Amino acid sequence: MPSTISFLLGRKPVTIDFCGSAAWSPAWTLLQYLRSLPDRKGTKEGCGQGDCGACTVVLAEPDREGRLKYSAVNSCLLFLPMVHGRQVLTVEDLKFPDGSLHPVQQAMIDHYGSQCGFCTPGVVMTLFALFKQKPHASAAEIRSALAGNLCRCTGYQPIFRAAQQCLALSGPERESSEEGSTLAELNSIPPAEWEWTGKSEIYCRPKSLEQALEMIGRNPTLSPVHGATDLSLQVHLKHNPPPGILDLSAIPELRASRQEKEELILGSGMSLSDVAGHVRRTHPALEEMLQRFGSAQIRNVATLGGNVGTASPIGDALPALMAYGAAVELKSLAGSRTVPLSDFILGYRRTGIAPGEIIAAVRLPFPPPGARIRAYKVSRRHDVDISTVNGAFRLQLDSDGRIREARLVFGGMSPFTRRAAGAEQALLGKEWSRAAAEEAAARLQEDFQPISDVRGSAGFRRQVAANLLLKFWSDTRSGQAP
Amino acid sequence: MNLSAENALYYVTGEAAFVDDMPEPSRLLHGLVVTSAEAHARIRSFDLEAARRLPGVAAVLSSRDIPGHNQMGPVIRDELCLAEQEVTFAGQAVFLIAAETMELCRQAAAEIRVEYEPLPAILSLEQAMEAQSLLGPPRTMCRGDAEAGLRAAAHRISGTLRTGAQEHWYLETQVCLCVPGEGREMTVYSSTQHPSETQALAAGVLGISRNEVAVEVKRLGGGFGGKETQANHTACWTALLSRATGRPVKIRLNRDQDMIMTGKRHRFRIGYSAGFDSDGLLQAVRFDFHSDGGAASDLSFAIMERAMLHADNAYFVPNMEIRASVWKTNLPSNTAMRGFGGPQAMAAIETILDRIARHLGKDPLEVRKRNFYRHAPGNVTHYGQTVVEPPLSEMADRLAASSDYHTRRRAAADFNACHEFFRKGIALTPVKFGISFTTTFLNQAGALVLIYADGTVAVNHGGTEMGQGLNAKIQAIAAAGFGLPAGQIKVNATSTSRVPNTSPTAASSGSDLNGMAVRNAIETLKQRIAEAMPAVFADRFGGEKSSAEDIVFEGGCIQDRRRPGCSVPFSEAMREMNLRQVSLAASGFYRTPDIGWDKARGWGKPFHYYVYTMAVSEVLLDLLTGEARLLRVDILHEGGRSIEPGIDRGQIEGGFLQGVGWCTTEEIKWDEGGRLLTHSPDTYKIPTSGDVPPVFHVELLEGRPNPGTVHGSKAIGEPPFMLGLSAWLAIKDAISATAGHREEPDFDLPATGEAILLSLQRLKPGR
Repeated sequence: MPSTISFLLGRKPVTIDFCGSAAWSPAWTLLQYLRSLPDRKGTKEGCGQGDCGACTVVLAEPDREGRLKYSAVNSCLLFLPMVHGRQVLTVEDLKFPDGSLHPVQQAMIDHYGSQCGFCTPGVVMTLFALFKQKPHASAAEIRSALAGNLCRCTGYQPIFRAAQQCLALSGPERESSEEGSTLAELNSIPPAEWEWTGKSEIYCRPKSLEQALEMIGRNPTLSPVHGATDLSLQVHLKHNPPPGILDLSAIPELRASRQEKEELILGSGMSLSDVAGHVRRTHPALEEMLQRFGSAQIRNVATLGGNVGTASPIGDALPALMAYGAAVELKSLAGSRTVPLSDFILGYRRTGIAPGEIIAAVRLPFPPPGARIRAYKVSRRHDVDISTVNGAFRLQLDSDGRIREARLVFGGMSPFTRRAAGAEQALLGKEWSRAAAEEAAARLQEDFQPISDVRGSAGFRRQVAANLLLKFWSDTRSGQAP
Repeated sequence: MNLSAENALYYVTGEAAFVDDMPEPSRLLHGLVVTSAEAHARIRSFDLEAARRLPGVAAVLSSRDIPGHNQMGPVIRDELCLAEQEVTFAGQAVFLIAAETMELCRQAAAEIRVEYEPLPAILSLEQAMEAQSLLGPPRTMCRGDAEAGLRAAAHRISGTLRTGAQEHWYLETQVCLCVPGEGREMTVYSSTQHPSETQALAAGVLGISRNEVAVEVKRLGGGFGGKETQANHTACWTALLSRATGRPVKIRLNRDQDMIMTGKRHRFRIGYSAGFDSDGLLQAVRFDFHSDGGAASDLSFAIMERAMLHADNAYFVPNMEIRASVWKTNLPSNTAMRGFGGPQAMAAIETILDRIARHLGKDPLEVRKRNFYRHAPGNVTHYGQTVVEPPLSEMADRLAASSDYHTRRRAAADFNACHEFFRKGIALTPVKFGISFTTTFLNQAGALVLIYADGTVAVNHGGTEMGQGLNAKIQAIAAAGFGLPAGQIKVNATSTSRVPNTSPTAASSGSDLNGMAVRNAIETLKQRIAEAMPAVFADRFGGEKSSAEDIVFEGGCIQDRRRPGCSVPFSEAMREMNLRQVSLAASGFYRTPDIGWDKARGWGKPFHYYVYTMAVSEVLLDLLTGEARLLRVDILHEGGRSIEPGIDRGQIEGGFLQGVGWCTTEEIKWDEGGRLLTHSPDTYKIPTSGDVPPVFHVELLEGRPNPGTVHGSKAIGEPPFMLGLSAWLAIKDAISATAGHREEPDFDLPATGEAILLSLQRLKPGR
């Protein structure tokens, strides 16, 4: 089987053959690759764990309409084969061929957007992606796009001013003429499928679901991965790689969604940014949580399947998914099965996935009219932080105003995301009143025995969890929009 | 014109090379520092042989392999380069490895066998105080009789305030590349704020002289004090490996290593008592400052001194007593960070002012204004320096008006009256910050200015460019001096080979000191050129002989101001100078005049001048989650005549937000074994773009040129940091509102969501 990947690095086609090279391993990150090149030192490592954005680069690939779609990503988390068939743009690529600066670069200069300059290449690339994808971004969208780029010098204000200037300028662009040839070149790169066995690692990259199932059927120790935002840390930060990696990022059907009568079916490989766009109208509480999930760079590659499969106790998508009654669609050579998410997650980072299975999709039912659903996240910092406690709550009232169904899902309160059975029970049959919310909150003390850790003490978690129910009441009481 | 544009051009295109971006020399080795996981332990034995035998490993060193002194204490020699018999903090360097790849370094580290015998560790200030574990003798500073003043005062308050540690979080982690030369020569490319000290300490561990070590610094990816002394460490380790192998070696700490191994802003525990009259006028204040110095002295005593010198902040305290102790703990040695003790002290005095207002039921701004430094005798600090014409009251009035302070306080009260789960809070806090190193001899700088025969200029100075825009300001000063466009001036990388014995770029002094040294070098050159020009003019234009006093440098030309038309372009003139054998290189030197103080007595004039700045912050507090969001911030800054307002504005905005981080989300935690828990950005949270207030006004107060500084400018780096205290006290104001401002909330720093919720709970009626 071949073991090459092909992509565009800026305007230059690059092919890497992992078999022919002692230097490269497919579990290398894109950042390690870029930093190894003498002319790509602009991309920096600030943390090597997807938290600071100094390594931000932009990936361009054809979207459904056949146009180039630009996404800012953390190059420190992406495994190198994941750029196959895409264009990788770094800060060195932005100048126009005549040597003049891109409007994003010029605006950063005009507004003193650089002080020490170390975060600047990442900031420039984030702004470039915004310039391409969202030229009419609001002030809030600019802030949100930049939340994944830490800057310790400027206080961000000069960068906001730069963003406003360059976005105001984004008119007919000089590089558009190049996009046609870029698209043609990217489209001419055939999908890569291969299995690579190094000294101690295995890296498989199937291009179809059948192939993926066949590979994991043969070798159930493979770790399936889409965006690698979690697994990459295990490999590169903890130096504890899994026995093998099954890279699912090349499988188109996993990145697709479809709508059925009663539910949305979201491919497990859809990025969280994509998912947020799909569920904005139908599942606003999930969308709201996804807006605070990691940074834009993370959301552009992290997936719903990854968040579900990781089963972290503070996975930010999980409470909302459970509140909406999501189910997980699992596939293997033996067939497929669908399991409610609340039954799928069994313990701390432990799920009911069977050997040889992969998560193919998440089925997300449409909520019935009148359902009151909210999701909350409490973290030390508002943006790009891991939850101390998160929660998603859903109530269904009878026509006489009594609670018929309650789902109160909490993360950060136990080793895994789960419902608060006692608190839910306390609500049934009651009117949705402050007293009911407080009674349910009191029952949480029996539902959960949270731990103290670096993000917060057990007492703080208990207090916040109880308060979130009060907040839920305050936000959904009569008179408020359901 | 944006004078930082030239540097910025390289940043936005990715061309700007930091140490790790430099082309790698051939035969480069990668270095790894093996550190202690124990906070305090005896090293019983170790075995490096298996690690040394691994193919591709070039050197594995212990303290026994250090050819020079095993020492890297910058002031007091109490900090080992590599641990000997004992480790005194988790994260302390014990062994060094150089290998062909980082992967091989890691493999070698896994082969090292060490046997530790754990010893009792001191991990908190309280434990250190209990064990009387002092780093040095305590110090006292006083004026008047605090005891009597407290006794006589109509009102008294007292309490304890704790302020937290802070990680610098420069984006570029500590890094150094060493290239050995002929014989014992060593070139050190370091990301250091103090090249001369890096040179001295590297020479020390290598056992060679300083003229054999050249330290070069192109730029730093942020410093904030974290690379004032502690960049030396990485440089010393790299130099040792390079010497041992005879090959170039690079050490770059990764983020977690950097956070685990390096020191932080000192945490403080401050006991205070204050006496005041019914108008809120301070009669007496007594402070007990306790700082956590960590395992070695580093700059802890200088930091404590600056804290003592800022215990008054902007207020006249007739009777003041400050007792200060620096405690030794089994944690990495804490170090300089922006503000250098000032923030901790100001948090304490501002807490007192805030409490007085609550105690008397007055507006805090009114109480602050009443206590501002004013006319004599209320214009002398507790250490004897006269505060000349403090603009504090005018600034407070102006800022209160421009920010609608009073209207918004009323609006916040109305908001608070009709919301159950939210509160708004507002606070205005001032900063008066003293400019000069309090270690007086450090207030000096050198420069070397070179003019080439084509009329271009190269400027060398002792400061380091780390984002503060120093080189852009130096370029502006040089351009103005020669009457040239900025593009004709190039500021070189800082090198100990060109300017010796420099001071660190710290204490906000970079432009003041180096700018003056550059200006002095330029004046020397101009004088020399002016003396040679009359002959040039005579040859070219004939006529009466020009006089050197009439030669001016303007608009890219050199001319006789008395003889219109008698003008030669600068570049032509320089060719002439070269032909006429005139030296076009000059060094410049500057020492800050008229300062000096008696450290032992704590009396004198330690500061050249003060910078004044003020901020009003408004926050919205969610009482259910403890989340505080900044709604609006207004800053009024008095910074003399700015050399580059765009740069100064950036320092204000950035310093403010860094201060807000220290006051709110940035919290350092260790486990019970003294190991850092918050060692990565997923647990240590510095502000993001989402934490910037949506309304943020910054005004530079104009029309007050600073006498006796370059171009009438003032230092800018540190003062804005302490404006973050306005956000902190706005949060406290919001908490206090839940109890009708009648009770004093428990309130330490940082005010994390958890701390806020706890404070709210304790205020709840009936508890």
